[in-house]
Amino acid sequence: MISGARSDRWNAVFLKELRQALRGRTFALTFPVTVLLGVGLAIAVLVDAAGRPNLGPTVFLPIVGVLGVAALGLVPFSAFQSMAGEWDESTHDLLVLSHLSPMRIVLGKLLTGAVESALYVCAFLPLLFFTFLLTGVSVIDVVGLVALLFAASLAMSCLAMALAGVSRAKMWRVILLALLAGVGFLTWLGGFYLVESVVQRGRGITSPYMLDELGVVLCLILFVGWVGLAFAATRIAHPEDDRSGPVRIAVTAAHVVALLWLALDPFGSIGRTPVLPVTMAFGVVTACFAVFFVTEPDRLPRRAAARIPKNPVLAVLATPFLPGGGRGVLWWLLQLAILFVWAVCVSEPTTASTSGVWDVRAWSAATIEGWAALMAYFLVYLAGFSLALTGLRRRSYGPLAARLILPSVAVLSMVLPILIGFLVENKRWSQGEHALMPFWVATNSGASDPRRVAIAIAILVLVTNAQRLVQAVQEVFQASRARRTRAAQREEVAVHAA
Amino acid sequence: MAALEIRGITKTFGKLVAVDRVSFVVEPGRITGFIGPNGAGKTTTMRIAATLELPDDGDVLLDGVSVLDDPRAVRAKLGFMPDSYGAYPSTTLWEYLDFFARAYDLTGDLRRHRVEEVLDFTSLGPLREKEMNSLSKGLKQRLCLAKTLLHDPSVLILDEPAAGLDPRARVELRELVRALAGMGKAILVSSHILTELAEMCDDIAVIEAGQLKAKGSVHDVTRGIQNVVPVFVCVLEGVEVLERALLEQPGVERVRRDGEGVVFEHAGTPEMLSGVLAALIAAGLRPIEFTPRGMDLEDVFLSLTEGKMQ
Repeated sequence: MISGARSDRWNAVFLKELRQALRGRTFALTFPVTVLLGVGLAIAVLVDAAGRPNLGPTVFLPIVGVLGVAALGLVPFSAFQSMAGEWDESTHDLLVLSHLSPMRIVLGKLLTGAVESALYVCAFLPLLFFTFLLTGVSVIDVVGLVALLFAASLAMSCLAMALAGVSRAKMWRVILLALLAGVGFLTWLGGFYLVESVVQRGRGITSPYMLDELGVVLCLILFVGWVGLAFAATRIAHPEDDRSGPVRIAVTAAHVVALLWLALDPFGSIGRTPVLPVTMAFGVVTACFAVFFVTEPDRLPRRAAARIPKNPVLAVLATPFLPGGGRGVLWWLLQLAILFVWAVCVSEPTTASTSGVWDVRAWSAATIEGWAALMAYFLVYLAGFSLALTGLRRRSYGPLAARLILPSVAVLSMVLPILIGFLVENKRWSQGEHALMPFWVATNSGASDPRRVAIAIAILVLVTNAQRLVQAVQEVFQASRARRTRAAQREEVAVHAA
Repeated sequence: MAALEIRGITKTFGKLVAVDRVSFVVEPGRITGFIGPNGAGKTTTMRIAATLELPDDGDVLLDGVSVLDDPRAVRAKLGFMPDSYGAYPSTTLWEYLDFFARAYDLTGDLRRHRVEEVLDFTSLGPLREKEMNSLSKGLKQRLCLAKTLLHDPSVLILDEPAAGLDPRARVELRELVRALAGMGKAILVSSHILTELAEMCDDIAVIEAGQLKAKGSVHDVTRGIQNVVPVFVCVLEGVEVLERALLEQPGVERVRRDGEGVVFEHAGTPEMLSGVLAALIAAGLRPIEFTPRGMDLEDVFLSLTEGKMQ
């Protein structure tokens, strides 16, 4: 069927990878070994615990543990090898020259991972359902946890592909593989704890507490998978193509969806949102991505320029999502604006309001000033310092150096006063209550002076970045105009030819 | 319109100018040999033409389509065979070609037909179920060529296709490339084996240290370098008379004995050379051999390049 006419519309990479994976030695060896290990372990536990009531959870845990090793370890490892192999086997150029888009290539590899995972799940499913007969584990728990493990396996495969595309140097590959193994192990541990909570402690997957926890885990899985997939696709693309746009869009979409979900609480399971920790966490996570975007070379890559919308309005709307350091700052400003609006809207109203948190009159000036100060710090730490590193960023090693320097400077700005506080026995500083600590300044209404200073510095950063930002937009406008001109010329030629 | 037009491309890597304002064209139905020492900029030029690299300056046009403006359209017309071909483990020849045919959006019967066609063209049909990794280097090269032909490109760029092949495989590859030129495809081929190129190419482009040293038909380039043509003449009898007669002819320089005959250097046109032969016959000499000795591609290459490294 794989080579038949029905497969015409299937992803070519998926078909090729599937043939290779199922025929390759790795899968042929690991699959039966894993299944045998699962069966053997289940029998051993069953014999050991024979006669006890509610044996289900006792047998379920080791089986799902072995399945977890396969789904979170072996399948992502296979995806990593497959992606790295495109460069090692010199097939990358051949793929790039074909009609396959980078996204189709990584999706093909992801689908192969999905099939491998599904095969493992199918092999283990009879064993897992057998634990239901031993009582103590419900069918819903089995199905729900296996589905979650399957999703986690896909997300890990996406992460594996993204990591495999980071470097072509063998030494770096080993480090990245070790990193993948570490993340896989931590995910396995976390998953094991989750499964234990569901089956061993008898909480059940449908209990409100577990639903909340599983919701967060699922969001995390989706986020890692989505961003990993987008990043892996950009690594296959040509350096002059748009290599950061898909990641920018993926992160923004995840950011907006997660914040909306937290604000609207559609299932009523969240209750009161912890605004400060969420704002801090989202700020830090998006900053991790922004570090990469603001340190990109400012120039618009030529192939990306060739795909800018001809419509000037659409071109402007697309600007923050196009590659380039200046447009990275615009992207960062957009994320901060989204986060600011969310934080202000979700904050507890300080005065009585009839229409809840969406009533503008209910927001106090102090709340708005606090969140504005937090965003100001985020802006200064990233955009301000990245501008200072302009000279460095132009060198070949510049982006990498800037990506190391920026977070280091931000962390040092917050941590150094704490260390100094310990040394000079200043209690406030040692507890992080100093003007360089954004989280303290933002939440402490008594620190209104540092807030205003931070906002003023942020405005200064914007002013000093103005040329870079204007240039970033201008480049997009020019590219859009050039496309319109070329299209008009082509039409003219066609009319003449006719 | 030239099938492939390389228009003043420049490419730098840091301080190294890998390709410096290189321009030449490849016409449909002709094979252009791209000659140069290691590190001369051949592969970089070819990768730019194949849309895998971007030039810092200049452009490359395939059937009038720019690699800068529309790389996708260029890729549809182009077949590129890199110097290091990619192999997938645990894949048969047929599966490998089927995969790339799908990657070029060929569907249904058309895909199967094309795969069969290229397998037949490269004489790999009987090996279709063999795994790629078990093939010899020559067969792998042929498979890579088959893959390159799947989407029926009008321009072929072959980077060192004969490297590492045994003499028989080289001859077979040469025949295949000639057959492709016969189908009207424009072919740019680089190689270190100059005798191989000499027998295959219609045109040459010589590059050294990123700069183009010469371009044009093999004959024109050779003539451009070779101001005088050495000609060997052998007559039935009267070598001394032959020597004297030759010295009286216009365009003839330096006459010397060479075994049974005489070698003279001629600096005139082919018409004048033909006049020399006619004059010898008119003088009663009976020539049994009259052979202009042209430079071979190796002589041309050595004469044009200085062995510069960068």
